Amino acid sequence: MRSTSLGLALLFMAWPVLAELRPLAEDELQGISGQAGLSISASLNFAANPAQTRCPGGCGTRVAIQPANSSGFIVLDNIQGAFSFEGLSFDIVTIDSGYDGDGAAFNASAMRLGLTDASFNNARVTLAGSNSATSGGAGFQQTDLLTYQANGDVRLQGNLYIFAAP
Amino acid sequence: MEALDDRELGEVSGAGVGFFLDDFFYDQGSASAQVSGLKDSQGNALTIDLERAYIKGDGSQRGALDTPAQVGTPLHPFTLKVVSGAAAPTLPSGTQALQLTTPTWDDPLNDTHQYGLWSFYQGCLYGEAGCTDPTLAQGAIDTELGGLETTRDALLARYQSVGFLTLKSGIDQDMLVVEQRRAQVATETADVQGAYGTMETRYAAAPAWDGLYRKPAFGEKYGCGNVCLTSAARAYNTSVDSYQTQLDELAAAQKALGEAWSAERDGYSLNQRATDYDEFSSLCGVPTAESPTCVVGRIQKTKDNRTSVVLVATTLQNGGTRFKGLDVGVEATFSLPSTAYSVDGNGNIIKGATTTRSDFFSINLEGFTLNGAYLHLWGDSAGLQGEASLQMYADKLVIGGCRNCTDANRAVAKNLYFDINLGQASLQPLSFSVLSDGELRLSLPSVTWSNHQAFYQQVPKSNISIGNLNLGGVDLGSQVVRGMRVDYLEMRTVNLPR
Repeated sequence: MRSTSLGLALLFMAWPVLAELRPLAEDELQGISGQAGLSISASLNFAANPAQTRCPGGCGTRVAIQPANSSGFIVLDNIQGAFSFEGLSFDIVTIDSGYDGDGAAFNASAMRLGLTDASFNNARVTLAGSNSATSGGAGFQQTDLLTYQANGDVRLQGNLYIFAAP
Repeated sequence: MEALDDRELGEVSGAGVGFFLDDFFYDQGSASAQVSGLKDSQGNALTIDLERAYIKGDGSQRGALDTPAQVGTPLHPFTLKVVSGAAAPTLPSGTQALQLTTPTWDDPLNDTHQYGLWSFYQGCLYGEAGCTDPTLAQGAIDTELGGLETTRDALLARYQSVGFLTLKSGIDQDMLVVEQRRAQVATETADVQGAYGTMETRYAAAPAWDGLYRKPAFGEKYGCGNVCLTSAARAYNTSVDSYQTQLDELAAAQKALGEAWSAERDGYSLNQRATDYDEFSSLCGVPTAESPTCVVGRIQKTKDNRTSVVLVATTLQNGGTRFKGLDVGVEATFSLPSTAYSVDGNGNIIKGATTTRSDFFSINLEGFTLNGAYLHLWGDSAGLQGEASLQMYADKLVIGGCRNCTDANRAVAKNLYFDINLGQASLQPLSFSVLSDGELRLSLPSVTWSNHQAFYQQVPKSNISIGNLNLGGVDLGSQVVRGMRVDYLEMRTVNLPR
């Protein structure tokens, strides 16, 4: 559950980051090869909307997914609170050694995401099934399955390598 | 590094993404976490406070040390790609599926199936005190195989002069009598039920007194026998006699059926012969000759398993090592409503006050791997479909209900192997959908008459094995569940209270 909410938070945080990258032209991008990568710090706050009275104190962000040919939606509802981290690194590396010989045999580039400690401030998310993508209104039905809340600092480290697989 | 332009990027379609994690750990640290919103059947809230959670490398001493983990390698990564055809042979033709695979190895130590099999027979956790000889597993499977072969040899010797085809035809002939007599028992049972019904009806209509005779207890007759004054009393007495007659006939039919099972041929009763034949078929496959071979069935399966077990044992003896797994753990407190019941002075059960009870629960996995698992997802007219194979292995699973105690007060399972297969793309796809009222539905369609043969041949089974289970310091030995298959599954959420 923890990793789900964290993964989700990472997904959200990726958008503003890409937005910052956009001004770089392709030739400039080529230029940064071999240079130090990017280091990203972010604090994301999902605030409740008091106008929505369905949740006590107002509802937070709602993400609705409709699986193929389903009539209803699976929903991550009432996403609230803050999620922050400092020093998430991002670069391209060549793996050509280590891993009991696997590295030398691999001998290719991979994107490396350096994970870092993260912090939650009263972050919460509710997993639910619903008959509507938007909340409220006439005939609105929703079954809340569970709510996950986190508050405080979690310790996380590691490198996630991503590459094209044949 | 050369940049790929849009055209080049367009050409890499079909290739997927590989990923792996290095130098990784996760620790809940000082953060608090809670799962809420769950309800019991009365609609009372149930909360789970996660006090501690971690994912670290093997050897972390249940999360106490920040041992980094490596999950996958560059050549054995997780992969995410779109597959069809030969890459996913169970898919219906023309279907493309999203495939997620976990790191996969072919070598005996890292192939979950082979290592899991070996660890079950090994029983103890390799590397612990008293468990440094990997050939213990070989000894255990040899003993099992020896037992099966002894049974087979005894059966072969018993029916050597008869021949197994003759044995079968003898059983078939004798079974005809059994079937006839079973039908007779069924008829007599129906007659008894009919006579009982008549007796009940007539008892209800019978008078409280027939002359000097008081109405008897149900099933007994009026003392006036056939010369009762009222026709209702006489009719009831007759129905009691008929019921007794039918009971006698049923007893006779049951006795005859018992005798049919005792029919002797070649010196053995039908019961014995049928049991022996079934046992032999299970061990060696259905006989196709008077002196049958033994190339399929449980003996051959055990021999195949023995090959894997020996391979793993030999590799370990030669100094082979296994890719290290993960240590994963969660400690949580469950807060749930609890109602006290007591017994009053009259022996009545009295419902007391409902209070909130807190239960501590911990689960720790040591040396956990998920190598060789896969998930296929695709959508069609029936909705989101999938099939999954989970290949979970753990050196140790420790489940505790006490906060300050040792493993002597916990459940400790060693050498745990979960080979869980859910769904088969063509015959029984796992189907996930959200209904129009927002309830979630997970289902596995049932076997049908038209697909039952292919279904039972192709839909994969699930197996669970535990090398040794220890509860509260008592060794319960190895546990195994083999050959589970879900014929039908329908799961849906319900909004409580209804």
